[in-house]
Amino acid sequence: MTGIGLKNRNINKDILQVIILSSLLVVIILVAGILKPDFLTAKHLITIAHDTSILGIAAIGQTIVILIGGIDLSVGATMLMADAVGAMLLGGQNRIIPILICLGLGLLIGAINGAGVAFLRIPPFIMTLGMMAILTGSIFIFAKTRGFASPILRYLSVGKVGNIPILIIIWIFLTIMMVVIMRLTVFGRAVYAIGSNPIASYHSGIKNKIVIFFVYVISGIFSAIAGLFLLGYTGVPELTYRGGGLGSDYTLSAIAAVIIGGTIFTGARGGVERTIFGVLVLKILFSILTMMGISGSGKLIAQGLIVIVIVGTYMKLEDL
Amino acid sequence: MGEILKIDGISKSFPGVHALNKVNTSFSKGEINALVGENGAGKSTLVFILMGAMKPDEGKLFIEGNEANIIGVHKAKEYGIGAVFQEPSLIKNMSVAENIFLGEQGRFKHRGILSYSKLFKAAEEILNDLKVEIDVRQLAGLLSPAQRKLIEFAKMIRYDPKVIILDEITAALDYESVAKLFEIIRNKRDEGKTVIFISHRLKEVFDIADTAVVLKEGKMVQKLELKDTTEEGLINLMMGRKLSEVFPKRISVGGKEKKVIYSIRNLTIKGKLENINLDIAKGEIVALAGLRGHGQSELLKAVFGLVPKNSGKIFINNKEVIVNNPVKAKMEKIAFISNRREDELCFTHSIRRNIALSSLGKRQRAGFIIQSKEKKEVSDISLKMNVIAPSIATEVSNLSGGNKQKVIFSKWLLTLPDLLLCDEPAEGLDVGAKSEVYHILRRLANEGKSILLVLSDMIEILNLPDRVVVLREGKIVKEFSIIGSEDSEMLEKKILKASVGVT
Amino acid sequence: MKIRKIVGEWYIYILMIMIWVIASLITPYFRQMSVFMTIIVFSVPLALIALGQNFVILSGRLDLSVGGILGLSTVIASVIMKNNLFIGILFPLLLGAVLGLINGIAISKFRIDSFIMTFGMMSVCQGIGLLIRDYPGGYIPSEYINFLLKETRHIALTPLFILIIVLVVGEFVLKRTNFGRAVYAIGNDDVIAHRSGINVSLIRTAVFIISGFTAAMAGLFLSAVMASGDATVGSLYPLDSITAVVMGGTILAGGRGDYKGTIGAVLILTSLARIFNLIGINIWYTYIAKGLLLLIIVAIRMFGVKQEREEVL
Repeated sequence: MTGIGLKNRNINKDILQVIILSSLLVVIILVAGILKPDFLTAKHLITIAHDTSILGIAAIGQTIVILIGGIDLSVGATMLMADAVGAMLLGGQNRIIPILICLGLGLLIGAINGAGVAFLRIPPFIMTLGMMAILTGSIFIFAKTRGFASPILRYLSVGKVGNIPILIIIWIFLTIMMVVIMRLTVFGRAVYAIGSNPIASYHSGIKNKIVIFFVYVISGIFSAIAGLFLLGYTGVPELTYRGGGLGSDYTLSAIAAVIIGGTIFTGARGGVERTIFGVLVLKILFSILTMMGISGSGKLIAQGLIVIVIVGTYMKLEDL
Repeated sequence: MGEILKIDGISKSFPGVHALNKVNTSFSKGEINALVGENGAGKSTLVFILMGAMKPDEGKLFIEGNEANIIGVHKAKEYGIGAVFQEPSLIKNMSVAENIFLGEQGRFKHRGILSYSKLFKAAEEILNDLKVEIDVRQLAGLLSPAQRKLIEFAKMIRYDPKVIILDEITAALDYESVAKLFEIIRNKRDEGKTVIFISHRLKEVFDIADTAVVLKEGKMVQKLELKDTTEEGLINLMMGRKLSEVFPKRISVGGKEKKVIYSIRNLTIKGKLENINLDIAKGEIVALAGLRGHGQSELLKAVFGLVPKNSGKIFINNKEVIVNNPVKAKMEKIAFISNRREDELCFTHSIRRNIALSSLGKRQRAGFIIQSKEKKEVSDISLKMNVIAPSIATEVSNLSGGNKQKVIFSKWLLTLPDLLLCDEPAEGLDVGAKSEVYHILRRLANEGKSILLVLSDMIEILNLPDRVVVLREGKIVKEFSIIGSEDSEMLEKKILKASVGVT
Repeated sequence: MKIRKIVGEWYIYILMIMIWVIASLITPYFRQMSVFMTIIVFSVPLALIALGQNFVILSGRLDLSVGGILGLSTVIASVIMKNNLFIGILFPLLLGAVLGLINGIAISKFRIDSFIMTFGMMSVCQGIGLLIRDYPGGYIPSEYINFLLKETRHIALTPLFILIIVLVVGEFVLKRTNFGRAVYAIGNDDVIAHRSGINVSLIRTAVFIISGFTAAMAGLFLSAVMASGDATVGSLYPLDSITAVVMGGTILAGGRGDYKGTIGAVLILTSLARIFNLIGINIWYTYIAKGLLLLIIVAIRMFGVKQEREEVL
């Protein structure tokens, strides 16, 4: 008996999603360009480029975590931790060791998360939530001296090659690197398989625990990288606490970007390449709203509605 | 007596399969009807539709002459239809009593609030009427499969439905329980109720039912009086072809040296298996039989390292091997296919990804997959296994059950196993696919592989394996060598007796 | 065996008493009634929100919008109460229920993931709240505040009553009504529940209505404590309520747990904050303690629970 219905339902849906996203992006940019011609100038686009890249880098790690069927609520907290610790240790000097320490910190945080989820079977939501709480407390206790970014870091974060900010190049490069790993290596296959069906993967001899562990390590490292570039961009660490858990706006934005990009929570579909769309849609929309003079409250409402509408549309697609 | 239920042109499709195709039949009051057909013939789908748990794509249902719109299980109950489904239908974390009265616990009030003592008492009364002795306070998850089925029966029968549907209820039941059940069913028939009895155990069908409705691949074949036919006649109708066409020939024993490769010694899993000792020879197909849930699946899983054992050793060619997880099992060239396809396949992934999954390490260089090698090996094995699909990029969810099973086989064959452990390899497949699976297994055996199966379908047990090992309550009770044995009816009786513990 | 069962059910209260005993030994301040009253008062909002969240989690979902609904309720109260106290109480409650209804329908009928839907709802609510009042302010009538927070002989009666009533109602509905039992059934296995005749969509929607309603109630209480309306005051509550529910014994996947454990966890969390304050420990340590406590309790539970299924990870 042969199949009934669309031959490759999920793969077709994938293509549809990409089409919807790119069209949405084009429409948004065009509308923005019409409403405010300034929007499309290089000058303006560059102002959002850095924020976008930083969110984009953090979202890379989050994508992989969501792909494997988990979630990382400590992304923002790890970012700000690396931000503060980096500033403290660098103190404005061009030194490599503090950078390595910060990356190591991200790795450690990821490793603890991964160990809890993979080996102790603590649900990812709880594990990373607990980690976020611990980091929230820790950062304000331990990161006392302010410090600031080193010149090299500043240059990387703020500098340009021609008209293109270096950060964007770094973001794209990291994305391509991860896409290659996810699509072409054994590790990547394992991640997709576990996300799609952990039982089937385990039955097939995949070492679920180890793969899941490393996924969280990766997320931790990417969060730390994003945090370091955040430091480089703003120059000084972000030590204001806005409630809801440290860095929660970054975390939730990253999650929103991943979901909008089309990677779904059950982890069966999507990929790092999709998150680029999600990040762009989120950031450009925000920027348009800012340009239109809509205040912070309006942006919040818009963000909420957008996420719901887009995901709702994806759900409708599922039913086809 | 009059007609109670009429099924008029009911069809239902899922992606990849026509589960029901314009089925027309009717059932009368005061009758015990058997609904027979192979796994995948559409019986369970029909049950879901009759119980309002699924909507048919087309067709109508009539109850006592009036058109019935059964949307939702509560509606089915209103119409007087009750069913015990094939899949487990109890909430594991709730007590037996709550399960029996699920959705209506609040009926039992004491001074206005739910009284658990009244609930328990009412549940006890129901079980006493059925002469079932189970502690109603226990969590349903802690019961044995047989006990769960009895509770599901109690849960259904208390509504005193006019149409009683039983889907494979006897698969896990003991001899006495089956006898009790049959007595209740006969009483219900005498009261004028209608029973639709689904079972693949044709002996039981002839024992209890008056008529049989035969489904084959979603279509209605025939409704006939059981007194007008025989088991073989029924099998022919169900399969549409002769047994000898379905099953591959077994190589006769005579003179063939049996070289034992795999030995299991003293394998014990507390509560499930006790002191299992088993040998499997090269090129041999061994089947574990007996009532469902008596340790057969656990034995396979223990050999594959999927569940921990309390004691026991496994020897390959007289050398002890430690297999306590699937990774090690794979290294020892052991493969395992469970009885749930949803636990063996990533449905949203392509055929290629699924087939490649168990053997990724064999086609990689520095962690990167060698794409050309993968494409070739996957294509080759799909061809060899006769996987029918537009391409290896096709998503697995679109495939029919038979093709899904072949994809699973392909996946494991790429690991070049020497021992294959399969739990109900042909369950849920149409007869063509079943036949393919049987032939695949026999071919692998002829190539020298050892195969250990779990089978519950008597037709399969009598026609596929070389040796049958009957398990009862986790212990091996009897072994039968099929090749060169006496006539199958005698053998069937012996196997059944061993399964239910009658000596 | 029996001891194991009792500990399994009451561990959170055992822990709570231990913490209280240790605290009263460390600092003399802790033995004062006023401290306990502060704990009771500050526990009320979280206890209310955790009640709704408990229902949602038991049914197998999550509600992140509770913080937004809470903030919005305080804002609306601070605007309306000036003119009409009754409407100022009624409107937020109704709104909370309606927002919960929207959540519920989106999640059960349109099958939008609960994380996404409630996350979006949270943003929307906070945004609307900020539109109405972009910085904390507004007017909350003093009679209202007095009624809720007045202390009679050093005991804050109303908050205490609220906690007791909430505990009784929560446990009662969950354990002694069809609705509550249906919530457990759905959280365990919604397919089986559906086949047994339970209206899964209805129950799913209902738990979100409850969650929205309790969030509004929490907001009404909090507005009295703050004596103002603040749209952003709720941002910590979603994650804190989930923390309390899980700490209290409810499994994140749903189907098992109860509310008395949750209230115990709420009391512990509030107590810790107070105790640290009294001892003079930096307030930020409460976050660390919260995180560690959550992880340790869940880790221990994971070890304690016998793994009957086969190894999956």
